[in-house]
Amino acid sequence: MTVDIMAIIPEIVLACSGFLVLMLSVFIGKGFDRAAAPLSAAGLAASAAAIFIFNSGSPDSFFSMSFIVDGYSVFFRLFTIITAVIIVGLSWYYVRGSMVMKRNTGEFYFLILMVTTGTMLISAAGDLIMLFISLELVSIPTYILAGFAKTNERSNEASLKYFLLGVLASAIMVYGFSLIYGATGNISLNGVSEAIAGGNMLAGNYMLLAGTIMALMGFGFKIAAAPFHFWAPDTYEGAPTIVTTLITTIAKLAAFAGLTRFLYAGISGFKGSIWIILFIVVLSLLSMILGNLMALPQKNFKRLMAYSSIAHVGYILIAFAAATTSAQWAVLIYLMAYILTNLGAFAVAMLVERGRSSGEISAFAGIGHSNPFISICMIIFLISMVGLPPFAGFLGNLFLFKTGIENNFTWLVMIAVLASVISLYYYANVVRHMYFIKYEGDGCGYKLKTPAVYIAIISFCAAATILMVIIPFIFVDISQGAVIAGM
Amino acid sequence: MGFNILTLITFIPIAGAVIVAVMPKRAESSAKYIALITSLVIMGLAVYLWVVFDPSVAGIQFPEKYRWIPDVNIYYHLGVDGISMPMVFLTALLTVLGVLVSWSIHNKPKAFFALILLLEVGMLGVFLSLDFILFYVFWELVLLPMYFLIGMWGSANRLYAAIKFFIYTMLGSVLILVGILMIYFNSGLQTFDMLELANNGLGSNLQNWIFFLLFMGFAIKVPLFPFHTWLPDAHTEAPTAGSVLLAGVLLKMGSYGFIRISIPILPEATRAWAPAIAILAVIGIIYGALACLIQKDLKRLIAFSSVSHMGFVMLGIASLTPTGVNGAVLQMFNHGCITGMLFLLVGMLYDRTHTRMIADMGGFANKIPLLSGILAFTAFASLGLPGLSGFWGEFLVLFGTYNAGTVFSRVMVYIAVAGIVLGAAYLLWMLQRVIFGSYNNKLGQLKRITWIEFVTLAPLVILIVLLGVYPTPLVNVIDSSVTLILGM
Repeated sequence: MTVDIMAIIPEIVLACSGFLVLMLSVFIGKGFDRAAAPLSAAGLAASAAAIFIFNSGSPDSFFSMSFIVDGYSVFFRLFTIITAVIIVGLSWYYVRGSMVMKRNTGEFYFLILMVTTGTMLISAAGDLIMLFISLELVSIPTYILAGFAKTNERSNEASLKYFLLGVLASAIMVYGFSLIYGATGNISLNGVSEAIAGGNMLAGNYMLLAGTIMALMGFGFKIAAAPFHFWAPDTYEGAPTIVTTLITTIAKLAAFAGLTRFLYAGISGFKGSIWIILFIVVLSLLSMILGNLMALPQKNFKRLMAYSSIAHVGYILIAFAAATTSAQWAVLIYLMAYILTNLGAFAVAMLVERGRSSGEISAFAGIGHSNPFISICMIIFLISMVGLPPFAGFLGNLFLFKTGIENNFTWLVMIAVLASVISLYYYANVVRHMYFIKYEGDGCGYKLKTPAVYIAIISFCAAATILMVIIPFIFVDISQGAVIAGM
Repeated sequence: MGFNILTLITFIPIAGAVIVAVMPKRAESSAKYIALITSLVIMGLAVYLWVVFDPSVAGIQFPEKYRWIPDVNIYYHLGVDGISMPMVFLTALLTVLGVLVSWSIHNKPKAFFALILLLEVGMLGVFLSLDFILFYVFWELVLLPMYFLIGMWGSANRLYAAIKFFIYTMLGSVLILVGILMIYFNSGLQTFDMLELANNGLGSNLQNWIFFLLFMGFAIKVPLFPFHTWLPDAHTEAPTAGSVLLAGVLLKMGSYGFIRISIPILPEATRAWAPAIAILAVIGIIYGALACLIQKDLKRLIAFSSVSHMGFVMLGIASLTPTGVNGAVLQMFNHGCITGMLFLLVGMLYDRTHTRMIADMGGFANKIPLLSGILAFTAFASLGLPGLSGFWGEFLVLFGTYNAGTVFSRVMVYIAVAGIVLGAAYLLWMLQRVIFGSYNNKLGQLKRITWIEFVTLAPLVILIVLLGVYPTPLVNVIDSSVTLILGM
């Protein structure tokens, strides 16, 4: 057992630092608030160090197959930690500046660390129970975080909507898991996979099929794929922007980590099942079309990003329909690009929101002239989201579309590229406000305040967005090393 | 060669752009000097490249090939041949002139010149890259700077024109991306290398589909009728340097794509589609010329004349004969010079008169004789007067198409010749209204030509005359590569 414990030391370290932050803030009170963010960051760093220290280098499973350490989980754990560090860095300024959120600083960082722990566990989940519990460990703190601006009605609405629909989705998912268990007699993903392969069960076992589809519906909710996306726009808009950032990055990372693990490690050979693939294709198609079309009339930046993230999920699902090893690493590349650009774009949006007291796209007016550096970075993020070179989003799109065409989904890729042309319009609309439209508000809010942490994070994300295209081979190598074996 | 000259040519402008971008705001008036020096260095390298370039070699010269994403066979692969050489030179030259003509820009000069230099990277990269993905990266790289050039420094209707340009051309380019990926998987070679892909095993049915995708992308860029509607808006609203580079270089990227990619990689489909392209090209020639006749706006008139002239390029390509394609490349180069020069002149007239409406002009020959003379000279070059460079391209295109020998191609030539007549009509009528007639006194006193303007125009005047009298050196450079690409 000693060996087993070693494997989850990174998660233990992180959970402990989360509790430490919570306890210290309870006992010390206000005086501790300033130290909460640095302490959380230290906890994340210690957790990352633990991953390296306790990584034997070869894939292994622990706790009777429920916890798996392989290239895939190491990649996701590290990437989650990087994302979480950035979010903690962004929170530092954001939480202090919000009267409502400032009162519960300790709890805020505690919840963020819990979400991070959950995401790390998902990527390493080896059985259905582990998968479900760790997904809930991500979801429940996120529901709370969405309503963290307690006195703000929109935030309450966001939280409630997210919670109610989220619980429904979880219920459907866990029911699906139980059907899979019933059909295969196995809880561990490996066992499920062997049972399916041994009995050739995908061909005609409708209990298994129903279970898988229901589980996919649950995941569809978590990743906000159409038609399970209805919570997304309201939650994105109502939640405090830092929490929206978390939902669109870490929470999405968690859901995709779980989905990939579930499909590739559990439902082996799901490519052979026409129904599963059809289901994924329909989700992909609806997400791309609805996401992009609904984004067009949006006036609120966070609502725009909600629909844009739905569209991105649609593109990513093409690779799940393709269902090959190269599709797996294409998804990882895309996720890296997606998350880095989203973090950067939301960092800029938070500065705009703070400086102009408005979350509308029109609040971006004129920042191209008042704050040239962050505006140039914002262009990089937005154009990367369109998928145009020479930015990371292009690399992601290239590999996604490549796997799509490789596996005879050329028509789906055609729709995706046409949808991305639509997306150019609404992303360019933000750019248009930044550069071509004069700011109508008062003069004192003209030049935005830019704390050094934000500049550092924005520069990091922008640099990474460009580097991914200049030295793509490094990122390709990383993602290829993180593929779940056994396909 | 001790150094990678093509990489230097492609990426030195980025260094210039970065220097311009990071220089302090109080030094912004010197941005133009940095931009000029950078573009002159590129010009110098392009001239040097042409000197060391061996016209007798048909294939690629100065190749550079490095692994970029080895797992999927994506390479950083540059090279130059007889078709790209004139385009590289044209790009370098027009960028220098674009910088010169923007000498008096006071609105955010740093951003302006940085964008011009970034644009140059994209344009040069398109003509030099031999890997599909690299080509695509450069192809798209052009869009963003041009969007900002139009959107920030354009005239009244600039926002509409900028987004229309951006979305229209991106629509074309994403289709190219799908086409590229289809070639990658279906050729059986799993490579993005344009040279290797010439020996692919694509079936003719699949070739037709892929050709259609690439065709859409290239045709929008050229632009071939009926995909030209973005062009008049973008050209008219863009600042002078933007119009010069749009008309001079960006349009050529489309026709270059047909020659570099469609013909060698999809030969059967190209043959099958050639008549359709020829018909659209001829419609474009006539339609563009007719549209010119009714334009009230001088800049818009010249924009539509591009539709007409690029029709000749596409007609030459569609002939698939060495003479015709030679003529097409020659016309690409000459149209770049002549139309670039027309846009320069319109910009200079606008600086003086602050109007682009032909009705407001007139009598310029008395007030600004030298500028009017150069305008007349360029108009004559544009209408294809023998002895000036515009003649040879159109002549070879028509000659090559006629010699293709079918009844169809002859009919195309007859109609296209009518286009030349119409071209003479709208250009001469334009001249009559602009430089002759009575002077509109509301315009006040017009400034004589400045020496910077003279320096801007002089190289093009010289080129137009030299290539008009003796085009052989240029044709020699183009010819062997064209023969190789046509597989003859």
